[in-house]
Amino acid sequence: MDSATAYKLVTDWARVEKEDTSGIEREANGDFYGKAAVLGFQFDNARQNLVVRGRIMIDADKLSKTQDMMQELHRIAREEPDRVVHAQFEIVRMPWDTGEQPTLYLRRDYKTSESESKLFDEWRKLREMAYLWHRTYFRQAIGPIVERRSKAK
Amino acid sequence: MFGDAFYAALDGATNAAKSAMALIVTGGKKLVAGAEAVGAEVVQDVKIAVNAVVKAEQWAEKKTIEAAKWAEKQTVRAEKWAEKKTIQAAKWAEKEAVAVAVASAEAAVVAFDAVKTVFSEVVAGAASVPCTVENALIYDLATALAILGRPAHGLFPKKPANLPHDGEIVGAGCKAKDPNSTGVLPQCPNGKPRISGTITYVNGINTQYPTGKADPFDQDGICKSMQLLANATCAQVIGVYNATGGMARDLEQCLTNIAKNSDSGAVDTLSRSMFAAVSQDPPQDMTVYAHSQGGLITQEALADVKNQLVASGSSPADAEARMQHLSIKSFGTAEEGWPAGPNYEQFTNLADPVPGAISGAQLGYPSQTFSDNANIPNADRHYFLSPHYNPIGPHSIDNVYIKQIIAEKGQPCCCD
Repeated sequence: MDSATAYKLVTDWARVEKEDTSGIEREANGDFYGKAAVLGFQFDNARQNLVVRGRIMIDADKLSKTQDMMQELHRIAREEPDRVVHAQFEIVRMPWDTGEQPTLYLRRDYKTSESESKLFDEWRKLREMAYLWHRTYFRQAIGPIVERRSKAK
Repeated sequence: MFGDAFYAALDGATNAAKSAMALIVTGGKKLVAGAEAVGAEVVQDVKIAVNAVVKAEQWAEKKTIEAAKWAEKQTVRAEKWAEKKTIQAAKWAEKEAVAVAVASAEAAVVAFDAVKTVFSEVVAGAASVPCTVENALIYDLATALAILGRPAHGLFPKKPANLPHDGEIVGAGCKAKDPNSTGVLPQCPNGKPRISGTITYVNGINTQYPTGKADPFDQDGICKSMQLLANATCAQVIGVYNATGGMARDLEQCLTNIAKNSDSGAVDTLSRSMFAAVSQDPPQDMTVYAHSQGGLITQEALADVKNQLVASGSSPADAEARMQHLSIKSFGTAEEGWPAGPNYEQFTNLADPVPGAISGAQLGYPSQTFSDNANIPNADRHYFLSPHYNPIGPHSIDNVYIKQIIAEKGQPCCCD
C-alpha cells in the first residue's frame, strides 16, 4: 500500500465517521500519523505499512515492567484471535498520547489495500473491541494473574 | 406585559415539549436497535436535519437579538424575555434532534413533528417577538423536515482536534491551577471562609471557560458553577474542564462517549487525579461532582482507574475496595454504566430531558454500558421535579441542580 492510497483510506474513514483529518500529520517522506474517529493511524512509507490502533489503557508503563501480564495478553491474541478481532496488544507511546508514559493499544497492520467497506468494518470492530477491553475484558484477563501472584506469596 | 393567554400558550408549549421528549425516549428505547440496522444513511439524514436546525438556531439567535433591540425600545423586560426564550427554544430543538438521531428515522419524524408543534405554540405565544423571527423559525424547521427525505450529504460540524484548555485543571481566579494555588473557595463577606473538603467538578456540554475575562465568575461557564458549588458546600472546588466545541459538536462527542470510547483530555486528567488518590497507602478520599456529559467522562475515567489498579497488582476485588474511597455525585446525566466500586449519589430532575436521552442512547450499546454496572441503592438516587418554562432550563447545573443540593442538604455556614 503506498502513502497516497493509505492516506485516502484514512480520510475516507474520517469522512464516513463524520469527523475530519485535522488530527493527521503528514510528513514529506510520505509517512503520516494521527487520530481520526477515535482510532490512531500510523503509516510507514519505507515499509509501506499502515498501523491502526484502538486505545485500551493510558499510563501502561507498569504493564511492561511485569512479564506475566503481557505474556497472558499476547497468549490471548495468539490463541484466541476472535477475542481481539485478530489484533495484537502493544504498549507504545504515540504523539497524540497525553501523558509521559506509553499506552496499551490493540493494533492491526495493513500492507495491502482492501475494499473500503471491508476495512472500515474491521476498524469499527477494532474500535469497539478496544473499548470493551477498556471497560471490562482487560480486568477479566489480568485479574486471575494478580490472584495467582498473591496466593503464591 | 404578558397576559393569561400568553402564559396559557407557554404552558401548552411546555407540555408539548414534555410529550415530545416522552415520544423520543419511548421511541428511542424501542427502536434504537432498529436504527443501527437501518444504517448510517438514515442517521445521516437525521443529522442533516439537525444541521438545518442548528442553522435555524444561529439565524434565529441573530434575528432574536435584532428583535431584542427593537423590543428594548418598548420595554426592557420584553427584550430579555424574547431573547432568552427564543434562543433557548432553538437550542432545545437542536438537542431533541440529536437525541432522535440515535433512535430511528421513524422516531425522528414523530419527534420533529412534535418539535414543530412545540415551536408553533411557543412562537404563537411569544406575541412580543417580531413576526420575522417566528416565520423564519418555522421556515427553517420546515426545511429541516423536508431534508429528512433527501439523500445524505451533510455532517455535524467538524470537531476540532485540539480544543483550547481541554482537560485543564481549573483553580482560584478561574485560571489553570498550579501546585501552589487553591481551588475556588466559598465567598465570605469577611474574607474568612471555613473550608470543608475538596470537590473536583467536571462540567457538561456547551460550557465556557472564561479565563482571562474581567470577572469570569459573573459569566455563565465552569468558573461560575464552581463558585456556586463552593458556596453551596463550603468545599474548595477544583475544575476539570471539558472543553466545548459548540452545542452540536459537544452532543456528537456525548454520543461518542457512549458508543466508542472518547479519550478526551478531560478523561485522562480525571483518571490520573483519581488514580493518584486511590493508589496511595492508605487510599485517599476524593469527591467528584459531574454534570451532564461530565458524567460520561467520569465513567470513562473510572474504568481507566480500575484498569490501572489491576495493572498495578490489585485484584479486581481489591481495586473496587480502593475505589470505595471515591465519592461520585452526578447531576442530570447517565443513571447506568457506572463501574462498580465507588460510592455514588445521583440527582435527576424528572423534568430534565437529558438523562432520558442518554438512557435511550445507552440501550443501543448494552455491552459497553452494562458489563460493569454498579448497583446503586435507590436511596442514593434522588429524583425531584423542577419544571421550567423553557425546555432545557431543567438541565441547568447553576439554576436547578446546585439549588437542589441546598434544598436537600441545607445551606451550611461557610464563613468564620
